[in-house]
Parts: sequence; C-alpha cells; structure tokens
Amino acid sequence: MNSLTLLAAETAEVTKNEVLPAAGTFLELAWLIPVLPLLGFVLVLLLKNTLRERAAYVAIGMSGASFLLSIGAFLTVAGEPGSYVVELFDWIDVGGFTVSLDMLVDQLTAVLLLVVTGVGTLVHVYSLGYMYGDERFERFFAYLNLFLFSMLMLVLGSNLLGLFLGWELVGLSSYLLIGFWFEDMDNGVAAKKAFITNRVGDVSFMVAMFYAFSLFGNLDFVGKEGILAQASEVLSSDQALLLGLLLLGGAAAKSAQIPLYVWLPDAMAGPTPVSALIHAATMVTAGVYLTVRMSPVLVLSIDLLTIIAWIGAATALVAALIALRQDDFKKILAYSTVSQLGYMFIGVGVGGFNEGIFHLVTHAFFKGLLFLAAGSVMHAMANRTDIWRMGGLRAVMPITFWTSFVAWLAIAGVPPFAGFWSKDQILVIAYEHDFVGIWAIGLLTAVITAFYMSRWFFLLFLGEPRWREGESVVDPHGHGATTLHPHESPPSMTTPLIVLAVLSAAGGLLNPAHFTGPLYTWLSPTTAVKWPYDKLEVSEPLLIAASVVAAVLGIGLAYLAYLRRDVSAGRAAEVITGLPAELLERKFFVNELYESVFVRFGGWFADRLVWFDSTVVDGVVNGVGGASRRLADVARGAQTGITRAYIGSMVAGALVVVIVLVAQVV
Amino acid sequence: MPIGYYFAISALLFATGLTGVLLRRNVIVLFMCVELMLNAVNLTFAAAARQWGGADGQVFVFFVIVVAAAEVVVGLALIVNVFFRRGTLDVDAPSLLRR
Repeated sequence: MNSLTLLAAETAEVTKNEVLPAAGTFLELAWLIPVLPLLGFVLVLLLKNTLRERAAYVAIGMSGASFLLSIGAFLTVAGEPGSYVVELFDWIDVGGFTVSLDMLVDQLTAVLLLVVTGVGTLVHVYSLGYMYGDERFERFFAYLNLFLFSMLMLVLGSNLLGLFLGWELVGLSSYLLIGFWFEDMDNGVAAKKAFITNRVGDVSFMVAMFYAFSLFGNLDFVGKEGILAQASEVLSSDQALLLGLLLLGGAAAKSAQIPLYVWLPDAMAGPTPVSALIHAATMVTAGVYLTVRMSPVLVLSIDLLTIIAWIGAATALVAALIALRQDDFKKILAYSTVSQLGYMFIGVGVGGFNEGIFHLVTHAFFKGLLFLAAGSVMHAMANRTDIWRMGGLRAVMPITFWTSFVAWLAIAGVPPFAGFWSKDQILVIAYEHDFVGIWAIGLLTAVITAFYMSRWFFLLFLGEPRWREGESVVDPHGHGATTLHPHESPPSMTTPLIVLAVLSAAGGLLNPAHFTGPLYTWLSPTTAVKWPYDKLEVSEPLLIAASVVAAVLGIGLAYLAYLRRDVSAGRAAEVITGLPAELLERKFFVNELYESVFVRFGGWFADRLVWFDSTVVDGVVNGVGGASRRLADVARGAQTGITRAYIGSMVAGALVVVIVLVAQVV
Repeated sequence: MPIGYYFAISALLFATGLTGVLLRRNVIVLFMCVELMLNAVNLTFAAAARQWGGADGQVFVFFVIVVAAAEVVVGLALIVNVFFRRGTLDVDAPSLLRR
C-alpha cells in the first residue's frame, strides 16, 4: 500500500491553477462574505440599546449568511478549479506601486473560508448561552463579528498588503476580546502582552513586504507578475531564505511559535468562546496559512524549511511539556494549542503544506470543541478553572462529557478520529522528506500530548468528585460568592459541541489516505507539493503503527497515574515531582527570562536614553537659549532711552567714518 | 569771495546746531538746533553749486527745504501732543519704552 501511494504521488501530474475572472460567476458576491460581518459589527454597535439581547441574533445571522456564501464560493471553485480574482478597487496607486483591494478565492482560500465561518458561526451560537447575562453582552457579539470580518479579509487578501490588513485587524479584535473583562487588571495586561508581542512579528512582516516589493515589483500572490508564479525564476536560494525568515518572524508571532509564543497562554484571560474561536481555531492559524500561501517561495531554500521545521518541533515539544503540569484546565488547552501549532509548522517545514492545512482544519474542530467544552464546565462550576477541584463531572454533564470524549481521542491521536490522520500524515511526510530527527520529536510529543490530554480528561470528568454540591465559591470575575450547582449547559451551548464532536470524529474522512485523499488533491494546485530535495524510503504502515503506539502509551501512562491511583490529595498526588515538576510548572522560566531581558533591560536602556535626552539634547537647546539671554543682558545696557546719548553715539560714529575717509585720502 | 569762507560759516553753524542738539534738553530748542544744522548744509550746497556751476546742489537745497517743512509739521505736532499729555518739554522725560 505504501509503495502504491508513493507511486501515485510521483506520477500524478499536479495541474497548477489558472487565474480566472470572477465576473459572471457566483464569486461576484464574494465581497459580501467579509462585508456582512462588518455590517453586523456596525449595526450591533449603533443599535446596541435598541436591540439588547436581539443583537446576538443579528450577529449570528450575519455570521451564518457568511457561512452560506462561503459554501457557495467553495462549490464554485469545486465546479471549475482555478484562482479567482474578485476585482474590487485600487487601494494604493503611487508611482509604480499599485495595490488593489482584490479578493483571491482558490482551493486554499475556500477551505479556510469554510473553517472560519463554520466554526465562527458555531461559536456565535455557543456565546448566546455562555455570555447570557453579561453586562456587555451586545458588545461581545459586535466584537465577534468584527473578528470574523478581519479574519475573512486576511484569508481573502489577494496580495501581501491585503493579507496584512486583515492580519492587523485580527490583532485588534484579539486585543479587544482578550481584554473584554477589563475590570480585572490582569486581563488588560494579558491583552497588552498579546498585542505587543504581535507587533514584534508585524515589524518582521512589514520588512518582508518591503523586501518582496524590491524583488518582485508588486505584492500580488497570483497572476503572471505575481510573487508565487515568479518565485522560482526571480529568487535565488539565499533571497528566498531571507524573505522566508522575515515572513516566518510574522507567522511565529501570530501563530505563537518559539520565541514569540508567550502571549497565547495569557490570552486565555478572554471569555472562553474567544479562546475557542480566535486563540485555537482560526486567528492563531493565520501564520500557518501565510506560510502555506507562500509555499512556492519556501521550497526554494532547504535551510529555510529546516529552520521552520525545527522551530515547529521545539515549540511542539516545549509547549507539550509545559502542559503536563498546568493546573488551570484552560491553560492546559492553551499550551496544547501552542504545541499543535508547532505540529502545523513541522508540516510546513518538512514540505507537507497540504498536511499542515489538514491539521489546521482538524485542529480547528477538536480544539474548538475542547475549549467550548471547557467553557461548558466553567459555566457549570461557577467559573472555577482549577483541575484539582473537578472530577466526576461525567454524571452531571453527559453531553459535555461525551463530546469531550471524542475531542480527547481526536487530539490524542487515536484512530479513526480526526487528529490521528492529520498528525500522522505530518509525521509520515517528515520521515519521508528526510527529517528523521523531527519525526522522532513529533512522535515523543505525541506521547506527551496523549498523556496531558488524558490527564485533562480524567481529572475533569472521571474519578471521584473533588467538590461538594452546594459548596460556596468565590466567582473569579467578581460577581460575588455563589453556591455550586453543577448542571448541563443550555442547548445553545451543547448544539455546537455536538456538531464539532461529529466533525472531530469524522474529520479524518477529509483526507484518509496520504497523497491521494480528497483534501490533498484539492489543495495541491495551490501549494508547492513537489519535493526537490532528498527523500527516504518509508514504510507507512510501520510509521502509522508507531503513532498509534505513541497515543496508546500516553493514554495508558495517564490511566496509571490519574485513574488507578488515588488523586483525592490534589496536587500532592502528581507523579512527576521535584525539580522537573518545578521547571514545568514555572514554564521553563521563559516569562521570567523575557521579563529580565526585554522588560528590565529594555527599561534600563530606555532610562539611559531618557537621561541622554534630558541631559544632552535638552542641555544643548537650553544652553543656546541661556547664552542668547546673557548676551542680550549685556547688549541691552546700550539702550539707555536717552535721546541725546543716541545722537551722541551717532555723531561719534559719523566722526569715525569721516576720520577713516580722510585718512584714506591723505 | 573765496568758497572757504562759506564753508567755514556753514561748519560753524553746523557745529553750533550739533552742540545744541547734544547738550540742550528742551525739545523746542533741540528742534531749532536741527533746523540750524539743516540750513548749514543748505548753505554748503548753495555755495558749492555757485562755485562750480552745477544745478544738483540747488536742487538738493529745494528738497531739503521741503522735507524740513514736512518734518517741522510732524515734529511740532508731536511736541504739542507730548506737552499736552505730559506737561513737559524735557526730551528725556518720555522714556516709557526703556523699561
């Protein structure tokens, strides 16, 4: 079977996309896809006080309509494959520099559109129940719609600058939503941290655009002059390396890769639907989308691909290790997201662009589901997030339990659930493209992933309850103390859970066979699937077996550690103890390192600059002023105000002139 | 009559006027002294014009007379106004702008 699939990959000639005009097709309406959520945002903000709770239905309606249009766009591309450019208007036209605000709809975009609007709509519906009763309920939906608009602009951008527009807008929406409960100082701090960390990447992205423009003379993706068509002719390997590294800088910030991942775990300060939609399913995958979109550039440099793959591998492993010892169940999911994004970067780095997107899609399903389930648990447990005070929730919340069960198996990599297929295909292609070290790290990470997700699942839902019915709980959002009455969430919350559970279970059907699956074939015209470098002979069944063993091993270890042992002692019952545990709990001291290097040292450096400004620069300015003043003090002595003195000096001057003249003549 | 005499008288008149301007404080006297200086110059012009037969000097004299007349009008008006407002003819008294 292995040799068969490989043979298919070698022989199947991938037809690259033709650029097709959107006029006369359904895609003439494509501009409505982002504009509807924008309209929703404006409407809800303007009519907030009139609409009240009905604002949610406006927002959900816009999001749903956008989803339907996305299906239409998908079907159009499916009907006649190609890259459709929907021409809207010229945004910037200065000298030889023209940037149009056009939309690009091709196979890659269509997949992203469906994920963004699909998961987006589900999260909108979920928020209806989750955010009910919040004092800024309407505003939350306005922001969700704004985010949807931003993300769709990002995905639909037909050039780097158009993509960057959406890129910045999602940054803004993310900032607004992380800091949604800004009354708590910590949330505001987390929002700022996210925003500022992303700025670092944005600068890199901007320099990448300048560099791309100097190389290509325009920023368009497709078309004869476009970056992707020209890449292999214009770029040398070194230029591709530089351009790729600059783009990677931007992608690493948005997609939370080492060294810029620190903002994402803190971003969980936002409401849980936000974590699900923005910080798990969609926005954080923008970096993956960017790198896949630029894949014809990336494949030109094997050094660049190797760097990306190692960054992904390091991120996947480090984040998975940290997730082992977090006590806040949202934090576990946050580090898990960082780790899974690392997998996607491994996929991109080893040349498995389609596999990266496949994992992006399945991850959107199961991680979105995990976050929404976590939100459901918080809803039931008065916003408590300490995993040690949960347990036994299976009995009280059956729907949340069963949907989480599916998500847990999916992320742990148990066949036939979605996560197994996508993760395994990334590992297979890593091995096949001669990245054996990366493959080994990926496999180790798979064991750890299975372990920490099992810990998450077991401690939440199974075992004996570590809480009491009617217990008094202090609400962390400052709504005072409440008593604990765990209950299943309302239908508006459980319906999205069920839909996502079905997708997490069946997502593997998108691409059940490596190199020949429907998603792989679908994406191939838009990505650089041809691998021009070394390859290894692989035995795919053996690698699949290894992945399955990894998943089972992780789950088994967690079973021994958290189900077979008595964990009623809480944190004291942890298996890992001593120094390693401390190291993991403190997240390898990365935050402290950044604090001392960038914040402290940066502050010290800024202080020196302030000193320079106030002493040297101001000194020069004040010195010039003071000197003029003293000179004037001397000079004003001459202004006596006595007329005869002036006349006297005039006469004296005239005399001097006369004497000089006479002296010259004589 | 040699031209030197005219120049001597004219220089004497000019020096008298200048001394008056420098030493006296009464504005009216000051003013008269200025007139004296102007007319000393006029005398020089007229004498030189006659001696060398040029018309320029005489033309200048007319100009000086006209300008002096205009100046007297403005100057006297100022003096009268200062006197009405300040009640003094001391040239050093109005010194507001000094401080």
